[in-house]
Amino acid sequence: MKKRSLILVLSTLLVVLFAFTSYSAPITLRLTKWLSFPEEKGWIEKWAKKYEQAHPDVKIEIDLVTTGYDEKLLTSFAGGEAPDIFYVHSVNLPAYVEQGLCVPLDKYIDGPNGINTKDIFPAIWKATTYKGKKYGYSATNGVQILYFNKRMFRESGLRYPDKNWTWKDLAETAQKLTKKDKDGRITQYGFQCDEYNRVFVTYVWSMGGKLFDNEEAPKKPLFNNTIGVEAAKYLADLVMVYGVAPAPGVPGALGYREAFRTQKVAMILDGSWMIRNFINQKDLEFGTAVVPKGKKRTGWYDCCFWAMSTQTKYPDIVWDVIKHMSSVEVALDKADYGGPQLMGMPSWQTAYKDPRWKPCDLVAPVVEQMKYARPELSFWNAGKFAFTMLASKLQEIIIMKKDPKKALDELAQETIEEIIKKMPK
Amino acid sequence: MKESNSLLKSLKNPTVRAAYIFILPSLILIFVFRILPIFLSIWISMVDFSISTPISSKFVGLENFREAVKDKYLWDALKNTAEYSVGTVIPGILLGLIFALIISEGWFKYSGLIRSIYFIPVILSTTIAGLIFSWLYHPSFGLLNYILSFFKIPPKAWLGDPILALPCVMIMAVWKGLGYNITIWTAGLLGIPSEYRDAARVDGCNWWKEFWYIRAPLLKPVLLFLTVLGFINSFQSFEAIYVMTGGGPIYKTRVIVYYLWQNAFQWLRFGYAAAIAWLLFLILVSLTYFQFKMYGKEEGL
Repeated sequence: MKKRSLILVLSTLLVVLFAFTSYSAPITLRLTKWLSFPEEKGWIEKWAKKYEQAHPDVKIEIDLVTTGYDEKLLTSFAGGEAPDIFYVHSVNLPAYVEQGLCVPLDKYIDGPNGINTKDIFPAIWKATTYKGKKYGYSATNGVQILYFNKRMFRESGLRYPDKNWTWKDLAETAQKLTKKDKDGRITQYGFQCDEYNRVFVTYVWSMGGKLFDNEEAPKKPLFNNTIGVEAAKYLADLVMVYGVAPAPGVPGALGYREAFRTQKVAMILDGSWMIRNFINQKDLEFGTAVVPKGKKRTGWYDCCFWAMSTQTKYPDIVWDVIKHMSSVEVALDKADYGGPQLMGMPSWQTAYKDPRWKPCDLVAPVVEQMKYARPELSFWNAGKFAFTMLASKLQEIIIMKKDPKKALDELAQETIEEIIKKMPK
Repeated sequence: MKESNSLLKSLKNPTVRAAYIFILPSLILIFVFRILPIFLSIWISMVDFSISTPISSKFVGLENFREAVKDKYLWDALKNTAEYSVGTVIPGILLGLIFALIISEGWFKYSGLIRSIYFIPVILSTTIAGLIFSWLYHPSFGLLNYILSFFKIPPKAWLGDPILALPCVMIMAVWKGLGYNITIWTAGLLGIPSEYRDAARVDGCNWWKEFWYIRAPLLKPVLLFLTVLGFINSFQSFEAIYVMTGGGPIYKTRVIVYYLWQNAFQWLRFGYAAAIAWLLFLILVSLTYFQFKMYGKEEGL
């Protein structure tokens, strides 16, 4: 009896053991991103589900963060609970790499399960490459463009901005679009941009200037040279001399975007992703145009992409998911096939040749602008730091009427002391 | 030794043992989430913190503290914080007392109305309050500029002006914290026995003399409480600045905790941020000690 019981117990144990070893639980990957639009949630879930359907052994857990994305991501890394895949803004890339958060993807990108790198806009690789290694790419991105209020242009009898527009045209038209009431109070501004640092950079680049001797690994600031001073003076004149733009305020929810949406300002420079936002404002009749040119046309490229976490246990599968989430199909879908509900512009050049790609009037100038755009500064974490310092110095020039040359020389000195000397060698 | 012996002795009692077992989960949670992070932050302040592999962070000793002492941006932030604290705590306490007197003395016909609404801003989140005030201050379509336009006063970029921005945030903070101060002052005023006031009146004191010589000295513990707590809270303020100004314009509203946050989460310098946090702690301890000294120990709390 005892012997029979023992055999029964042992055989049961064997069956259980076999069941456990033969059963392979699905692999769960965690994916995180900040939420740019409420509609983005459904879009990410749709494409993650498609991957899961094609790969039943993989489950993707999605965590979309509305506020405090960086804080949440960094603490999850420090706590050893990092997601497998996460979204990165290119200005953060150098800092993230230095902190060991991202895996270089060259061996996957160029490997047998890789992608056609030549099909992706070169500016994207420039933004996602650090110290010679590629850290990712994404389906879509955004560029700086000019938004204008069509009604205000019509009422003033002005032609809409076109690709021949220069910075001088912008200033002159802004003067014609600035309106005052009988008491001399401004009721409508011609131009506004709270992020004057971004306009400053665009102006300098368009005039053939550079901010640093080497913008990837700077040793010497150049933004305080003649072109930089001219750019600062141009911006200060818009506010202080012509009075066609309000003084730079506090960037955020209640700045120039709100002013454009509520038709208090005729023109703003902003990212192409705002088309979707402005289109929902039913009474706002607006158009888009390429960024005004100087000696050449330029503008910034806002590059965000999927990256692989150094804490992932499944690098091959993570790569496969990144590849899926950044594919041409996903790009076209996210870009609304060129429609006004776009959440970004395809990073793939073939997407623009796809028969389903039909750019509407608002999107066509964005496509044109993409040819000239370049990534924002992204050297180490100085990118953000330098931008904060530049914004502050421009406020001193514009609001406090500080001499542009003197102010930019001070900034150059501060940049050397506070950023360049502290950069990792 | 004696105490530990008595503790061990008491543990032999099953009732005491059960009580300790019941509070053990709370003690563990307090240790893990309150006590341990304090010690960890001391360690973080002495290393070049590595986010991906914290354990392999390079030890730098007091380097972060040395850098902090020499950091001119930190000193600017400290100056802004001091201005912000003085500008919010002192008006907040004074206005709180005035409103508490209005309520407790029933001077104003609608005292009851004030009593029922003054606490609403306290329960409002700072983020929401900050956004509401950002709208009021908006240069193009804010209520404040709209009202000023009736008096032919040109519009101002309230939060974009380096001189006006910090006072504008202070006004929001005073408005938001006023209800709390009123509550504490009212409790203090009602706690004074009416016999003292009656005796003073019988002796011929007018209202002001009675308040100044009888009630004001008795309210010193309340004043100490509000000052200490007010300075501790205002030195740690962050949300209002984050929502309303982002530390600008020209760093004029960048307070110490905002600068700490920038170092940690924008520039990924967690070691340096922890060092700033410890410096802030030292400042607050010194300030509290100074306040206790100033008001006299005998008053107590």
